[in-house]
Amino acid sequence: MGKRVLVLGLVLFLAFCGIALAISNPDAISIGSVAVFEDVVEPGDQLFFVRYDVSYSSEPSEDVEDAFLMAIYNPDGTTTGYTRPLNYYQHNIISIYLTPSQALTWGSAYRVRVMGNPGLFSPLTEGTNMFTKILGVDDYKGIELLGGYLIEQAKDLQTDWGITLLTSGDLLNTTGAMYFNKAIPGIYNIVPDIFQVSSSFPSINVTTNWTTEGEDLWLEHKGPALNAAMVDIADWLGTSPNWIGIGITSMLAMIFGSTVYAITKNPGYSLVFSTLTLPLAAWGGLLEMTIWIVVFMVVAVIFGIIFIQGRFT
Amino acid sequence: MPRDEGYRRLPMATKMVEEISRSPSMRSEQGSGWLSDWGGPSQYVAMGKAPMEARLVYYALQEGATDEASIGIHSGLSVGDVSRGLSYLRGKGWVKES
Repeated sequence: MGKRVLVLGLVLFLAFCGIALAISNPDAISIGSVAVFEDVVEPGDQLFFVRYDVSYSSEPSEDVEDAFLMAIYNPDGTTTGYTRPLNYYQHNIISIYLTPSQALTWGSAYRVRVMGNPGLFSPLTEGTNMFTKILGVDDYKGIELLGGYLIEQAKDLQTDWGITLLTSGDLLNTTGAMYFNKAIPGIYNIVPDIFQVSSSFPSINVTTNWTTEGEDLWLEHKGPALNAAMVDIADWLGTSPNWIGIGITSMLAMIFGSTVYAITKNPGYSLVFSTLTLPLAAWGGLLEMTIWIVVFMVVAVIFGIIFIQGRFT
Repeated sequence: MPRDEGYRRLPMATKMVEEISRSPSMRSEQGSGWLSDWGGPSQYVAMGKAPMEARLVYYALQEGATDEASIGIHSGLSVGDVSRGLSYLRGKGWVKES
């Protein structure tokens, strides 16, 4: 007796579960447009797009995400396993994105379906709770056509919905952008040109192959003979050619400064004119430009402290 | 793709209408006359969840039908459907008892 009650209870439970999951068929179900694009985000990927209509005269209380889905089937009718729940009842759009590793054979007669959830609709009947579109060659399109195609779909939806999705310049406004991005996540970055408002990252060219133009110029001015002489002297003294250049430049600066001082008897003029030796030495190849800039800064500071500040104290 | 069939077919999901209504930017894009044929967004959502016969009866009344016979003429519904539609609307308080 107890077993019979248990079995009866189980049967009743399953029966009520079935009733609870039942959902009425739509008044109409169809696919208005379907297209496949490749090389969408990266080479070899694919985007399957569908504009559908799952039309109910009175919308069911069940969430559409649970009740209907878009699916891609092989040409022989076996499932590819690629499905995605619909976002809305009635006339709307949806898509499935496949990565390069998931991508299907380009141009093949795959079956794109908008269908009821097999767990809620039994049986699934073509034209009643399922609509199948067999892909033709014309449904496969180049990525360069994606923007224009989506705008055409927006025009169709705009007319049917009776709302504004496009600007006067045929760009998707905030409303249009919202629903197209919901159907195709990331579409903002794929075809930003079709949006009234879009954002993009600025491209920054990072230079990794620096040229040796400055060094080449320095060596050119330096001349092979002077360069060889400085290298030889540096080797002989056991130091670097830069120190030899600094030494020669310092001697020239002292000679120049002493000459000016002998004529003017003014240490300020002497210091200023001796400083001019530095750029000449740099131009001539005796001194690297960076060294003369450092020395120039030091001299400028000393000059400022001694002669300019000195005149006001 | 089915087109306009009077008020029988809902072109847009009611969830969408609710989302647009909640968003100030999307709402402003649609202007003040948005969904005026349906009596406004909130009426669209309410009617979208009502049975078809109730919707047709409601709009027949809006268009000037005064009794069940004229509602039937306006809407093309049978007497039984008109009666069911009216009782649904009365139950919701959208139509007063005559």
